[in-house]
Amino acid sequence: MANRAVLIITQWFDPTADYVVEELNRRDVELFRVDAAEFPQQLTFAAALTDDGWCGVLRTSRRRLSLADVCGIYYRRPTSFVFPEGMSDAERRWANSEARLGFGGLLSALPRWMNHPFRIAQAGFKPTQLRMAQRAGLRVPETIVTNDPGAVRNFAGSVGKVIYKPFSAGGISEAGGHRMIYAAIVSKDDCDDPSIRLTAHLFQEWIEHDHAVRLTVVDGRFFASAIYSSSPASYVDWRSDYESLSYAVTETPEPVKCAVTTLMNTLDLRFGALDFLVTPEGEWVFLEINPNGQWAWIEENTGLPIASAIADTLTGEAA
Amino acid sequence: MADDLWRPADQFPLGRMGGLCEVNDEEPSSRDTRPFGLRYVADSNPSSRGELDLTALDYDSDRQIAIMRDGGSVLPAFKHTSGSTSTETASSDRNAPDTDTDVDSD
Repeated sequence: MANRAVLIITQWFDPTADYVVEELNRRDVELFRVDAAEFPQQLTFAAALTDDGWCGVLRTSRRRLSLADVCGIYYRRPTSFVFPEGMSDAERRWANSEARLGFGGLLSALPRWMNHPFRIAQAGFKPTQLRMAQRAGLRVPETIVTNDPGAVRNFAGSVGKVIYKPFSAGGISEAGGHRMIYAAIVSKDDCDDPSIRLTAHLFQEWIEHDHAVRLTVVDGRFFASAIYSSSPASYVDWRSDYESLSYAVTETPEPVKCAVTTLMNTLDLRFGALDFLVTPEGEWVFLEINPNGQWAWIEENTGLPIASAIADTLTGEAA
Repeated sequence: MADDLWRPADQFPLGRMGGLCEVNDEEPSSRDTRPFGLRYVADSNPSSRGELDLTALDYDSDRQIAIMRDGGSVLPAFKHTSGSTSTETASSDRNAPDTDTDVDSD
């Protein structure tokens, strides 16, 4: 059937994507899963510009995908292109740039993404998303981004208890291991530490809260899970201690839904994994939106049918 | 003039470095040169579900999912032996934690 094939771009080990793949398999949908690492040695492409847009094929030794048949593209976690051994470094860099702009450029010109990588890249900037969330009507914590210790000291003097958060979620690889950087409460003595000068830092007012919420939005459908922490570490950042967490399906207040819809539209996102804190008074405070965030563990713990909703969107069956 | 802060290639983050672990052996620098945020570095602790046995992982080219061999049985990797998954925001199943965003692509 035309326009009934789903393209999933991710590495081979991506259990979250596997949930969607299995749902699509169950629906007997044509599926082409590929990692950028397969290009150019295992993946061949050819496309021509026609009056209907780019038409052509992606081909591996086992599968063939006609671009005209693609009804949805799911961008997850692809890894780097792999070029043949023997290329010089200069040749590899040039080939990599050409591959990104040529092969990647072709993919980027296709419609029906969830989410388009351009939009993921833009939305991933915390200062951007915080401003957009604020404009959409969500409450956002008082925030400062800076490398000026004096500015942090003044900020703490204004808002009181302060929390530090990294801009990125990837952590750091050093000393033979990979370690994370979780949100942390900053002591008063540390607020004007000279090492703040050494790169950009983000500080926010501390939000007293009853629990957190992970809100997964799929093409206008809302899946909200309350996250309750039972350890001091996970109360500050629930990622730091999963064993202490419990989950419950919760309802998203209508004003929050409206604001999140505006935010998603502004950022041109069809998928988002948003984090909120809920105050003792019940107010939802926006922390961040992860435009390519994890969600399967929420489905696992709550039964919320997120994979099915993603499959609906990718196949054009969304309500 | 091209803006080095916003190249077209950066806007299409195919080619993100990642995948199975890439560990750096370099030691942290001195307090004078280590950025403030790194004082909060901590071992990732997504869960106590146990590490995946990477040698037991394989890819099912027909189903297009990762699978795990457990004795004589074959299970989807997202439902590995504990019945749990490795899909949290800071999963440690690949030695290097997963990220929750893709903005930090190369």
